[in-house]
Amino acid sequence: MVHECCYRGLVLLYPRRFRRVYGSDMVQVFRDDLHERGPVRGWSRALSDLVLSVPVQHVEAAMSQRSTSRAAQGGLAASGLAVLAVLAMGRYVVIAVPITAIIAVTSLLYWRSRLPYREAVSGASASWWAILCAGAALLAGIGLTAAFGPEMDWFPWNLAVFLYLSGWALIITGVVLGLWRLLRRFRHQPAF
Amino acid sequence: MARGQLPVASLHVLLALLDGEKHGYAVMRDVEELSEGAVRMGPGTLYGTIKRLLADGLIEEVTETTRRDGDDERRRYYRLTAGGERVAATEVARLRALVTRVRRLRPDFGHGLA
Repeated sequence: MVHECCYRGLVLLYPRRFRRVYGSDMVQVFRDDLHERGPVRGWSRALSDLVLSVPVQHVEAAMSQRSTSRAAQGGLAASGLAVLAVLAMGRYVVIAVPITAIIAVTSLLYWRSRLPYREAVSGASASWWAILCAGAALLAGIGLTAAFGPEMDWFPWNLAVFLYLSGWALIITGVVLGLWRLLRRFRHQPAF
Repeated sequence: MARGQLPVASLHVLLALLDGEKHGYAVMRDVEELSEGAVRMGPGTLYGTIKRLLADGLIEEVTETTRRDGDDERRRYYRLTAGGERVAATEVARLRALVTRVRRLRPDFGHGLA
């Protein structure tokens, strides 16, 4: 029991996301190893493994986080630019709308495919603020274009309403995800 | 899907899972037995490898296996996917071909080794 408590403390050295998913299993494996091979051999394996695997996991976590946020930010930026292009060059609206949709969906699929399911789900709720900001940016873009943009008699109003509603939908989704994440933090106390 | 050649630890985990689903400690023990003690993994390396193999779709987690073989605790079991089995077979074939080529091209190399 003392051995297990000590090892449980050492598991805290791993990145949070990794130890949340695998922390309990690692303690279980350590316990089995200790039981089968004795404390000296069990601890020597566990300590040498910690020295090697803790830095590796931190590097992997940093790289995954960077590539994930870069892909998500890139996707959002590309979608935002395409939406602005729709507003600015209304003549090509028929082409620009599908392109926007394709870019948004591709970036979302790319982002999710880079992560295991668990991490992708937790990543989606962790980016509630990005979704909220995207909605606010969309509404701000519509407002600015309406206030200072050129006269657009030809502008399809169905599209303007669609973009306006999409902006509010993104804001509401962001708020709901943020609240859900906050509730989960209070309700669910993970072992690690 | 994994590209290029697999890291040694990943290949050994795939080979350990060839005969069916296993929990983490069983995989660790089988890897050691399979490599005759040459590859020794601790819990961190084991689950780091499992994480990468899951992400590459080479293994999958088996649900609804809470109690089996007299286990009194909840354990996560893992098994090979069809892709994982294919990758393991390809990697073993690559190693076999390498050994054959070395034997043919350098017949004097490795004398005295088992």
